[in-house]
Amino acid sequence: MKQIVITAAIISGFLFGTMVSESEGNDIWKGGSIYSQYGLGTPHDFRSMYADGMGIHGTAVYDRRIPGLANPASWSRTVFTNINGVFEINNFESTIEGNPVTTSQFQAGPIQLVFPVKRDRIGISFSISPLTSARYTTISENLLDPGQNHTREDLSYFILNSGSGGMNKIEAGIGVRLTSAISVGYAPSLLLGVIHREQNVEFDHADYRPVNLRESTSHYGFGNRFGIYIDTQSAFRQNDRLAAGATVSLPVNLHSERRLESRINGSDETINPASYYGDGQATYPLEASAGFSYNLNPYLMISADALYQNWDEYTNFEGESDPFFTDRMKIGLGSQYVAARRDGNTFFSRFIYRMGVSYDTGSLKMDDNNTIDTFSLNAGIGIPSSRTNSSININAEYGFRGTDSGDLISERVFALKVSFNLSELMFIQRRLQ
Amino acid sequence: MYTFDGRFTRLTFSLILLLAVWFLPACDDTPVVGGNLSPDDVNVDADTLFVDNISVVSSPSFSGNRPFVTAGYVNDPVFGELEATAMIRPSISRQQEDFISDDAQAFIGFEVDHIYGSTSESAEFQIVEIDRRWRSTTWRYDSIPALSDRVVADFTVTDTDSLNIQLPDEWLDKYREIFHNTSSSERDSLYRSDMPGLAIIPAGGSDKLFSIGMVDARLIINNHDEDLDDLEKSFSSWAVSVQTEIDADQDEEGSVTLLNTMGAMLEIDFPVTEEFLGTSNFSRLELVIYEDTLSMDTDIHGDFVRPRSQTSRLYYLEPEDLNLAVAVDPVLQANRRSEDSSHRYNLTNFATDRIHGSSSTRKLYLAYGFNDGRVIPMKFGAADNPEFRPRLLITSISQQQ
Repeated sequence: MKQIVITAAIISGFLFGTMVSESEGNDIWKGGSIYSQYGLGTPHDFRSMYADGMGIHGTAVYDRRIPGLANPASWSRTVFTNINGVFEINNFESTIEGNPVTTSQFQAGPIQLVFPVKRDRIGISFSISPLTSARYTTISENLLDPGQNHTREDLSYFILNSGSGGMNKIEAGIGVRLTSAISVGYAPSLLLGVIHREQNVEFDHADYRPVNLRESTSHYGFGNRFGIYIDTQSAFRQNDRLAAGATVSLPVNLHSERRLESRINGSDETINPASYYGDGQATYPLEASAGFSYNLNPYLMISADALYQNWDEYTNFEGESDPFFTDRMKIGLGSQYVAARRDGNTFFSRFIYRMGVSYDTGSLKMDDNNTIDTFSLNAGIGIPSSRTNSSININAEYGFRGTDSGDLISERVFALKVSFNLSELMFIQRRLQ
Repeated sequence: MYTFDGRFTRLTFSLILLLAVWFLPACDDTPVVGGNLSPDDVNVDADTLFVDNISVVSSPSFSGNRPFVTAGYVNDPVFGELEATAMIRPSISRQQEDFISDDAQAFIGFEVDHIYGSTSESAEFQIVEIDRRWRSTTWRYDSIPALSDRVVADFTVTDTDSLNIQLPDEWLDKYREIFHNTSSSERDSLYRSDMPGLAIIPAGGSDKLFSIGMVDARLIINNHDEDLDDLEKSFSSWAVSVQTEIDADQDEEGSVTLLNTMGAMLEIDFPVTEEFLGTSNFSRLELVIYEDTLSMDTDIHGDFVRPRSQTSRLYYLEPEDLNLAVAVDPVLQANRRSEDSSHRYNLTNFATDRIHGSSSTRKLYLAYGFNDGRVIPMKFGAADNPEFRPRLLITSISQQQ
């Protein structure tokens, strides 16, 4: 117990530091997907380590030792008190005008606490998770002709566009097992976040001082999410299990506020106060998912699911639909092999292995109706504790996003995620060791 | 056991993660991507605002002990009549061994530095004695000197050359008598009261102003005695008086005239506010004042020359402190741009301070050239001059709507 507390303290400190650095808008880890400049940023789909390792959303999968956010109904199957924290590093590689460009982004993933009110019947979850992430920097070179500047020649200037921030969700929810096969769940949430967009203009002449604009748009709104999970034992053969799940998150009307500032002579000056823009009317779209999973035996599972997001109905701060957005569908197929449940005493028999593939149509529709789709290969490994139910999980993902056609940019995405899962039978004194 | 149990293993994992977080910033490359996906949701705007509230205000200007003195008369086809009187007084300082012999002759030697007017015709000038004491440090351009009718010399100026003008024996006798006084205080006192100085004035038919560099001007005394050294005395006081027809109003072309004497300055008044400028976030705010080169060249004949200054200066003063302009340094100085005869001032910091800093009632005042004792007029375009209208060039950024 003491060791768990120490580890939890380290993780908490780690998380706190990361969250603070993010909330202050400190762009220590700049860089990210170029496509995160649109709307509220790139959707962040991570819901659980086991699902991520299989390339799926996780709607029809649960793990008693690792909490998940994909389906509120799955919390009803909670037996252990679980605490989970995730960190991820994303690396983006692309080629711009023949030059390779690499950016990287570090961010904290969800933090989740799930505990049973009634074991394997009613479970409660509290979580903080990122929904979208905007993190990009672009540069463009332009010219001001001699008639528009005083240097008597073409004056070149550079526009450095950068963005940071994103939407986060603070969620509390309950899962209830209605029958031995059917569970339902409900999770109200508070969505909040800030998107910073900053433009720095630098001229290639000392007579022109650099100027900048910094737009901050904050959002908050209340969401509702529902889920159902059904499973049955020995569906086709002895010791197998077939499960299906579905969730729906209702659209969220966001209360938004925007202000525009500029850093002039070392101090932040308000260019346009929030009252200048009035109240925003952004909408975070409806989201739904459905899937199944099949455990052939206690060791091997396959699962497939689909995630749908109604980004076509997304409205921006002005309350207008955004022509760059379109409905998004992500489908995944993966499997998990729990070698640790089998007898064995080799190095490889102590782990949990996961792998899968996914295809994401993306939420963006660029010029010429090019969508920014992503194809990903996923793999993961779980390192369980031999004495407790806790574990460490490590996932890797390699994906191909976007296209080079139509002057767009294709990215190769490499992501590495690490999670710490503390799983204990809380409030029950062990009588036997 | 190959699990993460064990104190050492857990500690190792934690350290690896912490190190990863600490080292990531150092590994982070310059996160610049671009191409056609750049948002470009910012505009760089180059706007022009006309500044119409420009007027000529007068300020006291002093001409004493400047680098030059100017004398003559010119009828400029553009500016009208200008008449200048140069007032000079040789030094009376004396070393113990200095002596002026009875046979000595006195000359005023100088070089003609700048000509304003006809270069082909010669002009006649006279040197007359000044009747009343005057003080060069407080002498204004519009002060009227008290001149006697005693002409001590006359000379002709054709082009820029060196002149040695002999002074009459009567003047030298008077100078010698005071010069040989052994008491310096008595000598100075007598000199100031009995010999207030000399004035160079145009004689009839003159159509030329010329300027003398006073650093090299000398009173030369040839003793014609092998036992005595000849003497060269610099000038201790000098000043200029100018009479002109130039007024402060806009002319028919919508231009206003300034002399480099600082007797008149351009008051440039515009609201330094975000409302007027259209932005408070500018990269450069430039004030452009144009010389009215079209009017300046009207009816000018080939042999008529007019000196020109390449410089103007900008002062930032309270209106009631305009009298102090002669004593304070300008905030900015601009050199004339040859392509369009413009004078350009970078007001970026000035406007930024006014908008984002403390408010002020100070205004901008433009002075032409340097107050160096020469007389140089210039026309600047004002509000009614369509081609040379003063303006602000604002380079700023704004969000794309």
